[in-house]
Amino acid sequence: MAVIRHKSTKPLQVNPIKLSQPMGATLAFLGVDRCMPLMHGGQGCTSFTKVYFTRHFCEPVAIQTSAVTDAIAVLDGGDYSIVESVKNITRKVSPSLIGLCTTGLTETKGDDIRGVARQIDFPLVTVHTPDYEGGLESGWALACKAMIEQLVAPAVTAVNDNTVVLLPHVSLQPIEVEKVKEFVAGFGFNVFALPDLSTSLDGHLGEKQAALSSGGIRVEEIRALAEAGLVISVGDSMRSCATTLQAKNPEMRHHHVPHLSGLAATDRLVAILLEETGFSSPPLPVVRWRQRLQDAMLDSHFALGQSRFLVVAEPDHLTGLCKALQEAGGRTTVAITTVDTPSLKDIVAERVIVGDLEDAEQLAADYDLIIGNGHCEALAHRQAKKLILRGFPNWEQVGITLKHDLLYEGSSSFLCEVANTA
Amino acid sequence: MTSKPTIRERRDMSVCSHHQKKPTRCNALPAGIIMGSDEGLLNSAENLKNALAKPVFKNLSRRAPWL
Repeated sequence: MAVIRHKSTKPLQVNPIKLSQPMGATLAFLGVDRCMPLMHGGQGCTSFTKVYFTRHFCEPVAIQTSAVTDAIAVLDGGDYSIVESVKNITRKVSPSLIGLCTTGLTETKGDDIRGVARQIDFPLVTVHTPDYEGGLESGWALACKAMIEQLVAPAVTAVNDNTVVLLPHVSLQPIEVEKVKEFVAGFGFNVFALPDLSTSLDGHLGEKQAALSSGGIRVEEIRALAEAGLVISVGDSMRSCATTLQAKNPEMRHHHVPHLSGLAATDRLVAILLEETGFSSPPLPVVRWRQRLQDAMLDSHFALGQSRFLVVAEPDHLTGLCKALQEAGGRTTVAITTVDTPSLKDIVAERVIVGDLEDAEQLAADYDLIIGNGHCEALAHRQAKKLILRGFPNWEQVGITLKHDLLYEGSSSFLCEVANTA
Repeated sequence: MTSKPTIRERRDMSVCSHHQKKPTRCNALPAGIIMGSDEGLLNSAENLKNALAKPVFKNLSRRAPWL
C-alpha cells in the first residue's frame, strides 16, 4: 500500500510540473477538425500555451485570444471581448467550431461565457477552466465533456453496434490514439476518438500551413456520436465524459479501462472486445505481440529489478507507467503527480506525492532513474540520474508524437527502452 | 601508457548490489556459494526456485483472455 500525500504543505510550487486547465482544454479542441480554440483571458495566457504546444509538437498551432486588458477586465463582462474575437476569427478564416475556454482572470471576474455564447450565431462550445483548479488532465476532460453536452445530438435511431467511441485521456500521444483506434478496429469496429489528435497533431506534412487545426474528428461526426453502440473510456479522468455520452443514449454500453499500459491492462481491453464481438480469438498480430511482450518482460526484468524509479506524470499516465514497470519487476519508489484525484490510491508505488520537482530533489537518494517530462531534465543533470522523457511538454526530442507505450506492442518497446537505460 | 581493460576485466572491476555500491549487471557469484557437486546442484535448484518466485513470472504467465 502506497503512502499518499494528497496535498502539498508548501505555500508555493518550486520547479512546478503542473500545467493549467485552459491548456488541457485547448489541446482537446485541437483534436477537432477545423477548430479554433479561443482563450478568454489575457494575451499572456494564450501565448504561453501556444509556445508550449509549438515547441512540443514542432508544428504551428492555431490558438486565438480574447485579449482581455486591464481596462476591459474592469469594464466588460466578456460580452464585448468575446463577440469581437469571434468576429475577427470568422473574418479571416472559416472554422467549423470555436472552442471557448476561460482562464484564471475571467473566472475570478465570473464572466458568463454561456450567456455570451447564446448571443453569437456560430457553432461554439464553452467550457469553464479556471487556472487555479485542476490541471492539464482535468481541463482536457472538461472540454471533452462540454463538447459532448453541447454538440452531440440525442440518439433517435437504434444504436449502431459496429461503432465505438473512444475517449482517450490527455497523456496519450497522437500515435497512441491511432494505435488504440487500429487495435479496436482490428475487431471489426468503426472507431471514433474524441478528441482525436492522431490526425491533427501527429506531425504530418500537409499541403500548406493551416490557420486552423488540420485533422481530428469532424463536427458532424461528434454530433452523431450518440448513435454508437459502445463507448470505451481510457483513464479515470474520462469516466464522467462517458457517463455524459451515455445520457444522450441510454442504450449505449460503456466499458472503462484506467490505462492501457502493460500486459494485464491490454488483456482487459482484449477481453472486452472479445465479449462484445463474440469472437473466440483476436487477430493474429495481437496474439504475436502478446508473446513478444511476455518475452520483453522476461528480458527486461533483470535490469528493471535492480533500479528504483521516480515517475512524474499526470494521474492517469502515472497509473499506467507505474503498473507497466511493476509487472516487469520494476520498483517505483517515488511517484509525483500534479493534482489530487481518487485514482491516486491505484498507483503502484511506494510513495505517491502531489507536488513539484523540489519534492523530487529532496528525495533524490530514493531513486536511480527518472521517467518524466522535459522539466525533469535539469533535475536529472543536477542529481546525476538517468532520464527517460515521457509526458508533456518534451522540448528536447523530435519524433515524440510517433513514440507509443501502449498495448502489447508499445509496452514491449517501453520496457526495453527502460531496461536499456537503467 | 596503460592498456585499456578488456571486457572481462571491466566486468570483474564492476561492483554489484551485494557490495553496497552502484549496481550494475552482476555476473560474479556471491562469495561462499558453491555451484559444483551435489551441494551445487541444490544451490542451483534453490536459485531457480527463487527466480520463479519473482512476481514477474506470475505476471507474464497470465492466461490470455482468448484461451
